[in-house]
Amino acid sequence: MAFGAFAHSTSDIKHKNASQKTGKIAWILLAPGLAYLALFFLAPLFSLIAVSLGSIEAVSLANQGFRYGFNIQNFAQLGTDYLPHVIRSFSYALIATAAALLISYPLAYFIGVKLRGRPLLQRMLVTLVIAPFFISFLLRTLAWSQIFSNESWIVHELQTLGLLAPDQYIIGTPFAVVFGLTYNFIPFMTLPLYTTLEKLDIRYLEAGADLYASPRKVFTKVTLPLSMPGVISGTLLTFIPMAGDYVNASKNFLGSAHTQMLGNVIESKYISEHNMPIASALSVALMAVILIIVGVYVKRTGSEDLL
Amino acid sequence: MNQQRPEDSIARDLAKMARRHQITRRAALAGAGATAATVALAACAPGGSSSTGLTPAKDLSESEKVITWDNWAAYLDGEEDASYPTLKAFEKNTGIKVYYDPEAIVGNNEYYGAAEKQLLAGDDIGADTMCLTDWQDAFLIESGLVQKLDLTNIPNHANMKSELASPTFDKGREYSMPWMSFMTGIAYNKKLYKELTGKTAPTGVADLWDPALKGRVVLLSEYREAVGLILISQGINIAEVTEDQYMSAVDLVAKQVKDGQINTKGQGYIESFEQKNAVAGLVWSGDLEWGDEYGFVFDSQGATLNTDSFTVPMGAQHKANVEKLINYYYDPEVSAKVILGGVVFAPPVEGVQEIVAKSNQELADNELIFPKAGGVRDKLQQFRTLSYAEHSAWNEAYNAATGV
Repeated sequence: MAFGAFAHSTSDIKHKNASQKTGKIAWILLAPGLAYLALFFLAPLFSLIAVSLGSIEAVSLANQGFRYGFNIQNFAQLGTDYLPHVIRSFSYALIATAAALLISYPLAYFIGVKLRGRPLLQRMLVTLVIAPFFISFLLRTLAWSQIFSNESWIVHELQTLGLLAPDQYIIGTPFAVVFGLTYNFIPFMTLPLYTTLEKLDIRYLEAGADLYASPRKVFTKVTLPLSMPGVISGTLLTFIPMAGDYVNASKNFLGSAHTQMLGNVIESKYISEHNMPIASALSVALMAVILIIVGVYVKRTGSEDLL
Repeated sequence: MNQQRPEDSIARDLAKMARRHQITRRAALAGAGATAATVALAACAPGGSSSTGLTPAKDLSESEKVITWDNWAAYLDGEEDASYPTLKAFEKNTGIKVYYDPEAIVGNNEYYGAAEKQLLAGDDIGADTMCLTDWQDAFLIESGLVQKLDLTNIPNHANMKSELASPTFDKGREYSMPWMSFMTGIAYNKKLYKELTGKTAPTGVADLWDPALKGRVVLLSEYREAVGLILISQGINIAEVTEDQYMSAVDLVAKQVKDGQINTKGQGYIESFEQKNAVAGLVWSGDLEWGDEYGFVFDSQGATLNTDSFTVPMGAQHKANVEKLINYYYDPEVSAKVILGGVVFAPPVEGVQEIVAKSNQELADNELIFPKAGGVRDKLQQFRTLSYAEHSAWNEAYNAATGV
């Protein structure tokens, strides 16, 4: 900038040269990033889309008979064979995102607003929110599968109380999967909420109260709108990976045959069946649907500047 | 230790680590998520390549006294403390250092999926030999992805049990050498089975559909074994199974899954038993510690028999060393030491039972290790060798029946 200003004060020609030069420098500086994006994002993405429209014939192990083509019917399976998985992926992700928000908001509010002026306590609590990250996410999910196992204390008590029938269990139910998703992604919701709420100017809340707004009104008219950037980044950070998650719903963790999500199908198509066109089509479709949902959401909430 | 190894081995180890960190099931679960994995998938998209025309890599066995051996868990004596007495003796006798990895293989599909690119290109996959299952070996041999063994280097192969000597996919065992055989049967948690059903033990596959076991039954993830045993229990010969017979058994599985009778299946079935989610299920012999807690029975109609065998991938550079290793383990005395060391699978070598009996009669009487003639040995069946197209369709049908 300073360089540009200097050029402007001397002569127009020099200014032109200078801005050309800065343009060049900008491109040179951008080049590694752009090359990286082209190589590791665009190329695989195009490859993925190309494979998703291909077909296989399974001749032998070494020859899957893969052909590029335009088999749009690969995507049609999404609406037929895999419709239950699509519905599960998005409904589980939606419910778990809502649950994570309901749990995280009061927590973040308490740490960010109520504990203001006690930085030590604030830092300790934020550390506690992050603490689960120090243990492998797989181990934590396995621990929950142990806690909810069929012969566990919890299941026995619920069966004794009549809340579960004698042949009903927790593992393998949609509840267990949504619980796992919520639990595993809560820090991703809490942290952005905390960073927004921590900056919340309390004087606005005081002004609201001075103008005779009830606490509820202050919350809905002042606190919530001001914390929307945190809410939106938190929900995006949780919803997107949740919709593609395949660990919690896996039969080896909290899920069962009845809770399989799109990620599980993609895993099975790729690793067990070597059916790359279908696996790729499902991946492309998953990305597209997420992109549409997120696009509409961001547009609706008026926070394009986040993207 | 690494420093003493030739440079090639270091490169191979790196290749191995990289491969391991690609998309084995465990790593995939730990990884970034489905989308990221499939972007990687797209990068490895096939070009319809065929491997015909691959030639074996140059054998460096003379100058490099090493072997990298990939295997399944619970398959070698001394695994619990990585002492491997028989392997150590081999190293001492031959001067060949063996890098043994008992966790390298968790599933045939998973292992192949992770090494696919290198195998198809004839590159080093980081293993000089691996012990995959018959049907997978059949596809590897058919596609020309493994090296022909020099049987003159393996004189002890004459000790191989006759029933294993010439399978349809490898007449005369020129490409694959059995390591251990295993059967499929019914495992059950003794205490819980009694509590739920009132009976002491299941007698066959049909007992798994008892409503008292609702939600507590598990199946193996490999259809040849799971559906295979269901077919055997229905009196069908799986060596000649037709598509209709297979699909009707898959329909039965789908119905039991839908009704909630079968809760889970997957590699994690051992954990499922340990967490007491599973009370009974179809499992591989030798996988669980059959003692006070768990029991194991064969279906009265018989059991599936499968064998994991040594193969040498095209890119491996120590075939002659591997042949020495195979020859060593085909000595009945050595094979007996493996069994006495705690491996509960059936060795492919004749004469082992007699040697084991000298020091441990109980082991020698164990049907999981030495199936008895007149007993289960006469009722063992091997799944028909399927064409790759059939395999794809049957595998997909089973996956669909079990939820994905």
